[in-house]
Parts: sequence; C-alpha cells; structure tokens
Amino acid sequence: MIFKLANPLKFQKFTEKFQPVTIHLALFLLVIGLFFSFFNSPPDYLQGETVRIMYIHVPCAWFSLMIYSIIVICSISSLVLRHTLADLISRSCAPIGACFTIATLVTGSIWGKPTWGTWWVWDARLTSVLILFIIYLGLIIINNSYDDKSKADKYASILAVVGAVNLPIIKWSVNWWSTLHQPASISKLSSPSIDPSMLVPLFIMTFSFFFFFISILLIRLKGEIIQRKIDVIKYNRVEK
Amino acid sequence: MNYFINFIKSEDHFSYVLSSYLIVFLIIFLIFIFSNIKTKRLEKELINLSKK
Repeated sequence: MIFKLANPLKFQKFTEKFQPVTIHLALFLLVIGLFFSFFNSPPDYLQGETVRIMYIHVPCAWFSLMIYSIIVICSISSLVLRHTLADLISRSCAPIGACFTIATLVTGSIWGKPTWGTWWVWDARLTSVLILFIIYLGLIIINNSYDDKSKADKYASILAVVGAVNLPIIKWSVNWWSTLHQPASISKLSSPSIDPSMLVPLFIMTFSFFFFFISILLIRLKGEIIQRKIDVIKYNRVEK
Repeated sequence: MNYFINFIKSEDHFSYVLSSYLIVFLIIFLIFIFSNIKTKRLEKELINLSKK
C-alpha cells in the first residue's frame, strides 16, 4: 500500500478520494471540541477563563513542531534517496507549518498579556518558536526562488536539516533556561498535570487540527503534482 | 452551560479568548481557501495545456 502510494500519480488519485473525508472529520471534531472547550470545561483557578486559549494554542504549537519534523524526515529522504514525493511533501508542508507557528505565536502573545502582563518577552521558548517561524519563511522563499525545482528542493532540504537543531531547543528550552513559559504539562500521558475536564477538549481540538492539517496537505500535494506535470509539458514543448 | 455563561460574563478575559479563537480559525480558513484556489487554477492550466 505505502509503496504504491510512493508513486505521485497513484498518490494523487488517493488524495482525491481521501481529502473530502478528512475535512468533514475536521469540522465534526471542531464542533465537538468547541462544545467541550466552552460548555464542559471549567476556568482555571489561577488563570481564570484565559485557560480556554490553551485548547487552540497547544495544538497549534504541537503541529508547528510535528510538521517541521515531517519536513526534516522528507528532506533527509530527499537528500539521500532523491525521492520526488518527499520533495513534494516538504514543499506542501512548509506554508501549513508557517501558519500553525504564527498561530502559536499570536495566541501565545494574547494569552501572555493577561497572564504575564506583557504581549512579548525575549525568553527562550518564545524566541526559539520565532526562529522556527523564520526558518519556515526561509523554506517558503527558497522553494519559490528557483526556476530549477530540483535545485530549490536541495537547498530547502539542507536548510530544513540544519534548522532541525532548533527542535530540541524549543522542546527543552523551558527546562534548560529560566523562562516565563510554563514547563510541559502533558509530558507523560499516564500522569498529566491537567484535569481530565481540560484534557478531553484539548485532545479533541488536537485531532480536529490534525485532520485540518491532513486535508490542507492533500490539497497542496495535489497542486504540487499538477505543477510538476505542467512543468514537464512546458519543458517538452520547448525541447521540440 | 454554567461554564459558558460565566465565560460570557467574564468581561476582562472574554476579548482575549474570543480574539485568539478568531485569529486561529481565520489563519486555517485562509490557508485552506488559498490552497484550494491555487490547486483549482493549476488544474485548469493543465487542462488547457493538454488541449493545445
């Protein structure tokens, strides 16, 4: 199954069937998630109602890291195995990752104002996530700067692999340095420091965002495959 | 339902929560719409190129 889908054309057919399912699942889970977030979860004893920002801030932060990890895996696969689909996935993921990262930064900033008393501080967690956003922008710029797509893919892959150094810094910045940002609350699923009434909406919203990510990824992948077909047709006509 | 009513009444925090939800959904909506428009445009371009 996986090897069959490694062929971009077969993958395109798969995306056409699967994409509508993912967007419907995302919307369905979003409605349930919003219900649990606003009607079934209590305010925090310390932060009050602002804790509800967590249900969108945390999934966005998780996906900004997860999408970058996917880009790194695809970049390594592209550099080592020269796999076309890996390049296409990297290209498609970068703008989505950038969107989740800017959403993380904005919601974090809005959450910071009533909680910390400031919109922004140059502490380790916030700064390292800002660097992640700049890396995403770098990937998007490289992907769109070259007419020769193989060259763009190669340089973007190198940047992605080098930028992977930032991932452990983001993850453990709250442990390594003294920061305003709180440490991880769900490092172990068996003993999270969050009450189940808050954990349930958080996970439902996370699954909703996951299906949004998959849905947008499949649309962008389809676009990238079509773009490659167009490039081949144009190249063949110039050759003739 | 009580949680929601208390949330609506919390004047000082209501705007922070509402604005962050709206911004996130706007960002997701925009990337979804722009990705869709781009793919549809490319599909049309491919069909036109194939016809020529």
